[in-house]
Amino acid sequence: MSPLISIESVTKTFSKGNTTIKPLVDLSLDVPRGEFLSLMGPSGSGKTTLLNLIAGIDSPTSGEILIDGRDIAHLSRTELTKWRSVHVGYIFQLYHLVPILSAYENIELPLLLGKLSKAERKEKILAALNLVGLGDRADHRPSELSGGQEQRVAIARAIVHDPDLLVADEPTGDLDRESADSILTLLNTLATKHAKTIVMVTHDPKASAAAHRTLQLEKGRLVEESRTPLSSLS
Amino acid sequence: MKIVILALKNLTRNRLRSILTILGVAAGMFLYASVQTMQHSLSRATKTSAADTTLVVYRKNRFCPSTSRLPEHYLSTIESMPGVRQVIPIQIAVNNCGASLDVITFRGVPPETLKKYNPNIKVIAGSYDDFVKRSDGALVGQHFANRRGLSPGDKFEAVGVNVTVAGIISSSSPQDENVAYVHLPFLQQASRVGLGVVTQFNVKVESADQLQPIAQQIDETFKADQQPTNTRPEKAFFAETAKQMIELIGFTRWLGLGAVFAVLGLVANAVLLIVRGRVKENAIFQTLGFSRLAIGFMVITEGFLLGLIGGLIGVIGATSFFHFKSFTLGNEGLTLAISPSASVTLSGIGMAIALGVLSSLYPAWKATSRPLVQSLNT
Amino acid sequence: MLPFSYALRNLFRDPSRLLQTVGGSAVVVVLLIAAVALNQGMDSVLSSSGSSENVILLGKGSEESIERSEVGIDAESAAATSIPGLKEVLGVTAISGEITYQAPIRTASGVEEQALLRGVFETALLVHDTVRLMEGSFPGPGEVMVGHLAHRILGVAQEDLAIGKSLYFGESEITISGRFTAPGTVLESEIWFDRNDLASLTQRDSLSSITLRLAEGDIDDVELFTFQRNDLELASIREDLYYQKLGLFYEPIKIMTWVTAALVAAGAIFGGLNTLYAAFAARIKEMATLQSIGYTRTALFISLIQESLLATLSGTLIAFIAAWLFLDGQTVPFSVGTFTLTLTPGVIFTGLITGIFLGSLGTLPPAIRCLLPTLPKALRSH
Repeated sequence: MSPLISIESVTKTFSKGNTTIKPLVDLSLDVPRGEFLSLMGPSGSGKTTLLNLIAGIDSPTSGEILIDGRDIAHLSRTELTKWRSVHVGYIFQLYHLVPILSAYENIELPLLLGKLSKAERKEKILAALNLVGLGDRADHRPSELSGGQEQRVAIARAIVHDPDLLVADEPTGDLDRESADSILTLLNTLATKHAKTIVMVTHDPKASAAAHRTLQLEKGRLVEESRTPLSSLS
Repeated sequence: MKIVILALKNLTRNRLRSILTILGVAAGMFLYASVQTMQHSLSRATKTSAADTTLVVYRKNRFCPSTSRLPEHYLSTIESMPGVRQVIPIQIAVNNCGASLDVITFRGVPPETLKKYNPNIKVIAGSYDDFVKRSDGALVGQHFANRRGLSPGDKFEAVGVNVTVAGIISSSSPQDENVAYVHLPFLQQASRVGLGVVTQFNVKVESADQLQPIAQQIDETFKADQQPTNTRPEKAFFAETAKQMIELIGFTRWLGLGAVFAVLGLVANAVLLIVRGRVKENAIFQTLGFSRLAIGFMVITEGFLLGLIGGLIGVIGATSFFHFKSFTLGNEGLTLAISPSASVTLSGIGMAIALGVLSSLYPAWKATSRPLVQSLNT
Repeated sequence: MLPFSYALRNLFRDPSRLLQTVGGSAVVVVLLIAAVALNQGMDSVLSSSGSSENVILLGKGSEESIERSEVGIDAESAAATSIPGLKEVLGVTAISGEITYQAPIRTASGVEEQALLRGVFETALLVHDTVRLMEGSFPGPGEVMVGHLAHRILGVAQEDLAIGKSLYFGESEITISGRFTAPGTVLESEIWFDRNDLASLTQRDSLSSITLRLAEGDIDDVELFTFQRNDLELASIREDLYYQKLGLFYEPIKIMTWVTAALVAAGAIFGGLNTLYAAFAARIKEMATLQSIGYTRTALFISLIQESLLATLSGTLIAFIAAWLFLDGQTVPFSVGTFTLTLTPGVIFTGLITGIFLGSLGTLPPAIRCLLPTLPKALRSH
């Protein structure tokens, strides 16, 4: 089976005043469908840049990025936005929920971009809420939820439109150990049982241990690759 | 001093906000300074001071110059009264009696008497002799000349009267700056009131304490005549005659007040936004060792600077505006030159500073009243 | 497109900001409405005061002000007989020689103010066709009739100028015999005397003006008369043009009104912009999140505009209500008459457009700033 993500010789350059910064240098990478991949590395290693490129939030200076056979590296901003709304779910470190909307309404946001009826949307939202274990919190606003619950809502929002690809930027960075563990378990389930491809950036070795494979980046290049033994993945 | 420099640097951090606030303050202070200039000019023209020794003899119960017609022969009667130093008959022709900005006033006087009556008149262009020699000659006040772009030798026509500019004058008396002096008989004929009739007499008395008694004496003398008189000190005359203009200027006081409130609100809003955006930063400053007083002082300094800079632009802008554009309000034949004064400029800048500081008090308190821990966790 | 309820709910996120935006827009719109109504009121009373069918004969050199003008009494009969094409009503030529004067008048209650006086004969009614006698009778000797708004010039209540009440010109007592209307014109603020009375009270032996009403004749006929009878030293001007010229005198005052309104509005607008910039800056991350979900910048921009328009149009509504309560129908006395502030459709339209501009164009710069950063940068912002 062809990989979902295929990155070929991608470089990202941008200038800041008189200096040129290269967060990514000639990077190539394949990610098979249903894999839970974690990206690690010190600050400035390029991991978040890589994540943004995969998510279609940024475009590379050179190279090819094929997602499900489509080269997104050369799409226009509008085309990327449309592509994202269908194919990607993004999970942020600080959840980024809209404070004036309830959990239900936050999760509904990606669906409003499509053509589903109200009833169809309701079905999907409740399914997503149940999947993340927050079926009873649909009407709560973010201020009424704990950090872990907020992140679950964010995850529900990321999966409600059934994208193939989930990207997560430090999803457990702001959570206590217990909440972090439950989130990681959830992510693992999404990859293993629901065939979602997940790319996660993290500093936390425990978080990367929940992934199928970990890649180490340094100064914009891949330097190490390791696989988590199947036995340690529950 | 370090805190002032820090405050200044902070203002440049959000350049757009600072510029918008400063422009808003400048607009408000421009309005305020303009209003104050008008009030100040009016006050100078209507508040009698100890040095005033001029009376105006006018037709009783009349206001518009075309309605006041006094016999010229009253002159000799008034001249002979004890305490009277000098009397000059004046015929006034004006193009509009209602309060307006574009008033043209002619004053017909006996040409030889003018300089004797008002020795303060300085001829700054042209010549006085020319004026005396030409029957259609005019001595034009500085302001008037500026407004109409006149120089000696120019001919101009207004109010049905054709004159030639013989000279340009400047004088300590504000009325002189806005009028054109012409020969009395010339004006009497040109404006068709006829020889032997004048609008008013200006009377100079020996000393200020004689103003009231002489005024009463004059009015008593002509009480029963065909043309009874009403004699008042010059400034009081202005205050009672130019009612419409005074009302208009009085009304602008509200505009000045409105401008003050607008500036207060604008700076308070801006400083509050500044404070809200720097909650954590201020908390960090406190952990570094800056006292709450120091933080509060910095906030107030930012407000002070916004007020000062905006105030300077607005007030100096208004001062320059009135300096370069000679505005004259006219009403019932009297003119008021709106001219800038140093006291208004200084007080305007002072007001802007005061507003800047006042409006920052609440934000300064807000910036320092929150518990430190809460602010750090924002 | 984001749901409309999103924009609505965001408004109430920060009540103090909402209050400021609504209040600020209300202030700006009220100022603009007041300035427009003031200008329109002044213009309309001056433009309806003069008729294009009337011509005024004035003393030469006094075309700018009837008050200063002097016209010989015999000019009236000369004009009536020499000028062709004048209107005739039941055999009476529509020609009115008048004395126009401003002098203090004292009411029975002791209030003394500068009033607008006109000395006329009954032919005045043939010429000033807007004048209608409301009650009482045309003034005879020792009598006056007062215009409907004359009380505003004197600053007294309407009852003080009721029929039968007395007025005083100097020491002379005069009785109010009638009241008239002349809607929308300066005449309504005047006190009309019997011409002979006013002549002796003001010790004038000449008229201020002669107003003629044309039928088949035209202004050229009148001008020809003034040239032919040079000895009378008359100038002629169409009545509507005379009032138009008067209007020019008030230009500087009108400009002052506009400049003031503009300056205060500028302050309010700058304050509003500051607030909006700050408010939107705090939402850059939120906007970026919505973009990452798949909402286009256009959709987000429209939502921000919706929010602003809701606030500014609410302010506009408040402004309309305030204007209707406090400004509409207010009469403002000025030197030649009184005008009424009216919320005409034009005034309301101006206010509405202003509210829309504030909410759309006014929001443009802060909204653009909020949506401009690239996604990666915006997601990282604080």
